[in-house]
Amino acid sequence: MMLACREMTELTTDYLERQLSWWDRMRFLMHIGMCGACWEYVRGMKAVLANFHRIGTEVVPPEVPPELFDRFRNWKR
Amino acid sequence: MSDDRDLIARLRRGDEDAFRDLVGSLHGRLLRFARALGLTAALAEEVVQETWLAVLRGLERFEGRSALTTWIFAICANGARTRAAREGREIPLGDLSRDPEEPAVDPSRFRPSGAWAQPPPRGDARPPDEILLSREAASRVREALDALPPAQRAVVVLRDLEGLPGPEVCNVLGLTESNMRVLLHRGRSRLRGVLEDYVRGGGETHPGGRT
Ligand SMILES: [Zn+2]
Repeated sequence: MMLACREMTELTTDYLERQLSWWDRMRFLMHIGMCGACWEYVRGMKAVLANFHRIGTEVVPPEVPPELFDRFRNWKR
Repeated sequence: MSDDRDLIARLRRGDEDAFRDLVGSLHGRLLRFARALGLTAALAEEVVQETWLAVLRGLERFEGRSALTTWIFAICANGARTRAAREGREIPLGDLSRDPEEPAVDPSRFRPSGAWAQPPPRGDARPPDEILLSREAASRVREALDALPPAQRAVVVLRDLEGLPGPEVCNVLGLTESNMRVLLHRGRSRLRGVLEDYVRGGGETHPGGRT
């Protein structure tokens, strides 16, 4: 049984997380082999994930309270 | 995790450089995570500071069954939950009935057969990777991440930004594998959709994809 495109969009995460059964994985791969739209869909998803670090949830250079290091120094005593 | 073992040994010996490195690498990421769980900036600060104190208290007992980072994120998640509860709020994790259920793609874009009626735009002219290099596209995706429900956002931050393996994400957030994947799926699908909308809108000043 061929997967429908709509099913493909719901299986994409499980596919990328390698959580599909062997058979479903085959069906998924067969579908993207034949369906340009779903291939594009999966490519778009991969692009988001591969470039996630670019989306700029930059880690603010933190101001670590100096007391924390005092605590560490006294920790063993 | 053998790196972990070395680091833990140094920390236990009271090696302050090791501790500074650890704090330097994790403090900002813990803040981002605490914010992702829905805490205000001020509360997140407090929770992360408490996290470090809890790390110092627990380090002797840490058994290394998970990666050190995972353990620290888990302490932070628990602290965030306790803290939110004290403020009379609660972080809805694991309760999928309270997470907005949404199909990955608007159902009206499919024919009754389930085949695409309105497929994603073709990216031949400008592959999506390249589009995400633009500051504007990246900031749209970022806004969408910020706007996700907290449970989805926390999962996406741990899995896709921090790169924790799925099972460790479950550990940190106390989720089952299947709930975790549902949240991840909803979050990722939303972010992908935002990128697609951006491309469909023609992107910034570029002439857009092939017509
Ligand atoms: Zn398809």
